[in-house]
Amino acid sequence: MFKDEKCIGGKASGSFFRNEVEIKLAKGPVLIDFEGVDLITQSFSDEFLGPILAHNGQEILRQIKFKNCSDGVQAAILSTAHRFLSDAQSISH
Amino acid sequence: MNLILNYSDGTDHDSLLRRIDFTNLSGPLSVDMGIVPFFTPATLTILFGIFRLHHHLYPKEERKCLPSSFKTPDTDVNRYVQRVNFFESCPDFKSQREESFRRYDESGRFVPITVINSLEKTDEIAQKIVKVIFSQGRLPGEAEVKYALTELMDNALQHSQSSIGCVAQTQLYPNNFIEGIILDCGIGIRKHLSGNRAVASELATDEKAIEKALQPFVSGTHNQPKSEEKAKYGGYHNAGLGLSVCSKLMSLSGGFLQVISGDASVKVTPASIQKMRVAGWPGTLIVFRINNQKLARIPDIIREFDLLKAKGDTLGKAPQGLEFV
Repeated sequence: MFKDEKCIGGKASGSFFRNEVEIKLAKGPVLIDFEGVDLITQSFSDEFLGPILAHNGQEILRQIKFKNCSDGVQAAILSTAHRFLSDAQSISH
Repeated sequence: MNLILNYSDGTDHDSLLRRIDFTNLSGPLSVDMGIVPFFTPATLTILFGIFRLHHHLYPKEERKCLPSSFKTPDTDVNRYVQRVNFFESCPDFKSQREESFRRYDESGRFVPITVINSLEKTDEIAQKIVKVIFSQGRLPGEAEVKYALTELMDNALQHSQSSIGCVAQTQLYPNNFIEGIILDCGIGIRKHLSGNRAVASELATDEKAIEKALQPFVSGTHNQPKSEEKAKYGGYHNAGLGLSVCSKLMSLSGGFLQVISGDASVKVTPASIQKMRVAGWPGTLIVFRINNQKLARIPDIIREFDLLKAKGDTLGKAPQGLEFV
């Protein structure tokens, strides 16, 4: 999905990517493959995943799977999930 | 403003910023590099930013004064200035200079001074910059440097309201470090943070504002009511982590991150936080240095900051449903 880039960044890139994901989510579950990516910036992660969680709540996570995530990608996604879900509601673990 | 650079006064960016108040740009802008044998990329980028701001404030057709001038000695300094596209990218000098040298591929050497005007371009431009620096493919740190460049450029464009966009320059040095500068000529950190009610009462000086901005989550939009957040940031969300992560990343590698805004400079180094008064910068300027042989792990930095916000039973746990396959 992300070719030849070790780091994906940018608020605008995150916003663009969120639009792509939301279009696919409307049709069914989505698998996001981060193969080859070492890092995503926190801005990218917040802009891409944050509004999806804020608008749909924790339930939407059952519709999204993250594949081939490096430690750097996982840390950013977890940080986004905790902050946006705790803003919206209490989180179940 | 008439600015003559003398080698004895020092030509690094700290010396320049201590001596010259760049917030007062009335009249023609004239820079004479004299016989300066060397100056840093940060210094050149500062001069570039000032010429762009001056051009914006006083368009040629409205000037009742002599055009701006920039004198360089006919030495390697002049060739370096041309190689990084100083004249090409600077509206006052575009097409005024002829190049008297042969251009070689810039890969692995230096990056031209780059102007970024749109958030849509930060990822693409940061990628281009790291491809030049890491063209030989053997150096570590490509992802970390791109991370820092993208976060800092995003911050500048999202928060500064800079009339000239932001300007970036990055240089690879032979002894394993990379130095970069990102500047804007916008409202500055103090004014930006003053819109955040959670910290507005703690911003008595530019120095205190910079110190606040370096703390994680301070500039996050989570502190703002939703309507204010949308009006201010145009829909973009902000964790308030970018500057803090970059600062920690640089200092843990043995480098530094320096933030200059208004009349203050705060430099985070491995051993200390150094504070300095500067004469005046009209916006925000970030200079960083990273040692790519001693990189810190960004996920560890993010987890450390997340612990500051985490509630006891959430530490280290993924929310239910979040699955990495």
